[in-house]
Parts: sequence; C-alpha cells; structure tokens
Amino acid sequence: MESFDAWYSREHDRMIATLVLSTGDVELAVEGVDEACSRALERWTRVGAMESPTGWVYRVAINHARRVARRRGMEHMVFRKQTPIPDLPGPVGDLWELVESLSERQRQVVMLRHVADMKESEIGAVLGISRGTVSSTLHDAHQRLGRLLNDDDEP
Amino acid sequence: MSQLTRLSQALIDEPLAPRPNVDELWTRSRRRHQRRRSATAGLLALVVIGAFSIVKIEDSSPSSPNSSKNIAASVQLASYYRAAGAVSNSTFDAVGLPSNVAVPTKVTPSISTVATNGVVSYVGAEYCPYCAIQRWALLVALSKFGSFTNLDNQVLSSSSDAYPGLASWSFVGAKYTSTYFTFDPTELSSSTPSTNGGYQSLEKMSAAQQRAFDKYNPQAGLPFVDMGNHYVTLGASASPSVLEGLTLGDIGGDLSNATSPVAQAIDGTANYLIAALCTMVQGTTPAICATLATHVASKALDSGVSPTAKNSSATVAPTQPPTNAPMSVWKKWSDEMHAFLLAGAANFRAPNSACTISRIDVTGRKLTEPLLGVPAGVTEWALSFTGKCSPQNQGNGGL
Repeated sequence: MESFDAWYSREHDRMIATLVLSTGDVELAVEGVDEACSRALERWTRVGAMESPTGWVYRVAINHARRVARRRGMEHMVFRKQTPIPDLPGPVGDLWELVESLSERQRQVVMLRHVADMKESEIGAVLGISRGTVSSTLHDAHQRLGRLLNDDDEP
Repeated sequence: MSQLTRLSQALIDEPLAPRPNVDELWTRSRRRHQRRRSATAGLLALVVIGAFSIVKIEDSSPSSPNSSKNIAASVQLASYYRAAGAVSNSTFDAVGLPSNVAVPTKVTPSISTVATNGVVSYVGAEYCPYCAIQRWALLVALSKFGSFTNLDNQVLSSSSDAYPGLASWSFVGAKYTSTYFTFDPTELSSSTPSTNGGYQSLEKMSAAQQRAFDKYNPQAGLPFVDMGNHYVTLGASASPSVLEGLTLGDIGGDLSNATSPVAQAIDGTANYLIAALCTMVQGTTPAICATLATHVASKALDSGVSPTAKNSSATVAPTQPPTNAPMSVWKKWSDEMHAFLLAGAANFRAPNSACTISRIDVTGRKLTEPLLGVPAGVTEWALSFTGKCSPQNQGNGGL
C-alpha cells in the first residue's frame, strides 16, 4: 500500500485545482480538500487500501465543501452576513469565466474528468451517480463548451 | 488531452494554496474530534434541560431512558439516517414479524471464532442490492444500542444487477459507538465496475472476521451478518424490491409507517436483529429488549420458525380423527396433512450427503373406499422423491 505522504504530496494540488474550478471559491476548495485529507490520514490503513483512495477523498471533500457552503448560506440568511464574491486570481479566474455557465453538477463532472483525470466510472462513484448519468452530463457540457473540452486528437 | 486539462495544469504546477504538512492535518483532526465532543456534550445538556422541562410541564408523558442519548448522538446524521434511529417501540410492535422476513440462523460459537464473540460483523459490498436493504435493517437495529457517525457515503447498488440502482449508503468510514458490543463492518467492493468484469475492491476482512465468515457462511454469500457468533443472517432477510424507485428520504420516511412495505421489510428484519443483539448484552439490558416484538422475535429465534410464516402450524403432523368423525373434520385433517407434507418437502434435506434430490412432489388421491381408518371421499396425500445417489452408495440405504 502506498504511504499517505507519497499519495498526499502527489494528489493535493490537483485536488485543490479540481475543487476550485468546481466551486469557483478557493477558500471553500481548500477547506474541503484539507478536511478530507485529514480524515483520510486518520483512517489511512482503510482508505489507502481502497481501489481509489483519491476517489474517496474527493467524495468527502465535495460533501464537506457543500456543508460549509450551506452553513455560509444560513449565516448569510440569519446574520445578514455578506457572502464574498469569489475573487479568483490569474489563470483560474479566466478559466472560471469559461465554465461558470455550467450547472454545478456539470462543473463537478467536467473537472473530475478533465482536471482530476478520473474515469467516468470513478466519477460516478465519487458523486454517487450512475456511469450513464456521468456520460450524459459530460456530453451536455461538451455541447456547451465545445472546443475547450474536446480532446486534441478528436476530429 | 483537452484544452481544459492543459490550462488547469498551470494551477497544479503553481498551486493556489499551500499544502499543509502532515502534523497540521493531525492537528486539524484533533480539533475536529474536540469540536464533535463539545457539540455532543452541549446538545446533550440542551436535550436534558429540554426533557426536564417537558417532564415538568407534562408529567403524564412517557419517558424513554435512552432517548436523550440517542438524539444527541445522532445529530450528525442526515435526516433519513436519524429516521432509522427514531423508529418507535410501538412501530416495532405494530410491524411484528412479517411472514416474508427470514428468521436469523442460530449458530454455535466455536474456539476458532472466539475473537468475534461480542462483535457484530457485517460483510457486504456497495454494488450488492441485498446488502442495501440489510444495511437499513442493521442501522435501525443497531441505533437502539448505540450511535453512528460518518454515514454520509451514499451509494447506489449496481445498475446491472438485480434490483438495479437501489439507494443506500456505504459503511466505509462509518463509526459506531455502543456500550454493549463492537460493530465491525466490511464493504468488500464498490459499485464501480473494474476492468476484469467484477467490481473494484474496497476493504478486506480482518482475520477474525474471515474465520467467522468461512465457518458460518460456506457459500460465501453477501451480505453476511454475524451477531456475536450466536445468530447469523445469510443474504438479505427480506426482498430488496421494496426499495426500488425510492430515495433515501422516501425510505427514511416510510420506516415509521408500520403498514408500508418498507417498514414491513426493514423494521420486520430489525425486530429479529434486535432480539438477536439482546442475547449479546451483558449486564443491564436496554429497554428495547423488553418490548413485545423483541419478546416474540426471541421465541422465533429459538425455534428457528417465524410465527407468521405460511403453514407454520404444519410442523407437526395432524392427529387422525376417529373413523366416525363428520366429513368436515376429515376435510380439515386432509388440508392440514397437505400443509404438513408441503412444509416437510420444502425443508427436506437428504440425510445421505452422497444423494441429491432433484424433485419432490406432494400428490393427492381421493379415496374411493376406506383405507386404514380414513373414510372414502377424503383426499389422502403422499410425498414422492426423485433423485440419485453416487454409485458407491447404492444399496447402502439410498436417501
């Protein structure tokens, strides 16, 4: 089994990039990934033995980010607290402008496929949806974003 | 490689946020546990205060010694999981022991499985639809003896198996706390197909769990639930069909509706599991062990026969009436004899392991003249067997 340290140093930055581009919020992405990695560290003997430890961590990270976002929404409602508008630096801001029009589900699927480099079956496991739903979501996103998502070797 | 992959590579090469070191992750983990403990303690205090206030206001309202503990411990679970822990004793009693729910099998502990005495083991898989329904029943039953956390890994059973796409969750990462016993769940595979045609593997059984699995589950079927090496369930105790087309929220909502098919299957199974779990309790037993449903289920566990199973009275051959009894009595006797033989045929196993039975028939014949004290006009029933024994056993008594 791979050590936690080796897995962590290889996957961390890619996971942050995937979640930032899924949520459009660096703070939320960092919170989700760090929380998920800390949980994975705690139970690494189990998680590390899984077929896809990264898939497990993505699932936990996405769920945690969702919870934090919900809590923020509640705080906004109860305390009239302003939710900061995502201010994405440099290249990520440009990318975000391109993918912002996608639905949340489409963005998650697209980022897990093209940034996290996961297979459709793995994405289905992460998001708790069938492989067919992953395919059709990707197809819809491809229709919308066209060349940005098309593989170079495709006609 | 897509353009998006290329563009995002810059974000990986020049990360947007620093990577915390492992020590910082451990610190985060410790803080999380502290927060959880504080939240639980705070909520427990609130619940105790709330419960005290309610008792003061309504002296007549019934109290449950476990309710505050269960409520406090289950707050971290989503509403549908909380619904599983909130099934009331009156619902359990109303559901009872439906005839379509299998009775757990009594097993004998042995020296080889001593390490799992006092342990509730679950072995299943995320793709497995039978595991989907058994998980629910386990959750309902175990929630009466302790509390779960981290049950947020939602999964769908395989889309290509029987009962495709049932809504469930995975026990991977789940934690269970109880003063009565340990819960050791293992999900062997995910619901993600692997390249070799099966499913991607997830967890492995511990050596002790593997020993119990091999001993009590020689067919290696899933799910397997072992309650302290006293009782086991092999496969689903009820049909997963009741979950088809339902969301987790639908299922959670139906659990407290005693007449719903979901409650009949899941709470009905939980009644047996609770009775079996009560046999593992040492010292003071929780209140759930004293309910009517648990009492009846305990008796069924001892006998191995569901009190509501069809033809349950057919386990004893009916007494032949006197020859001069009215025809209505003979008709009833004939029906009972038919049921008795059907039950016998259904449970028949060849006593000689070298012989196999390919067919058993229960055939009726209306007597045209009295035979052995049975008057003419009564239908007499007989069992007939078709099978074969291996050549070296022929002539040694057959079946």
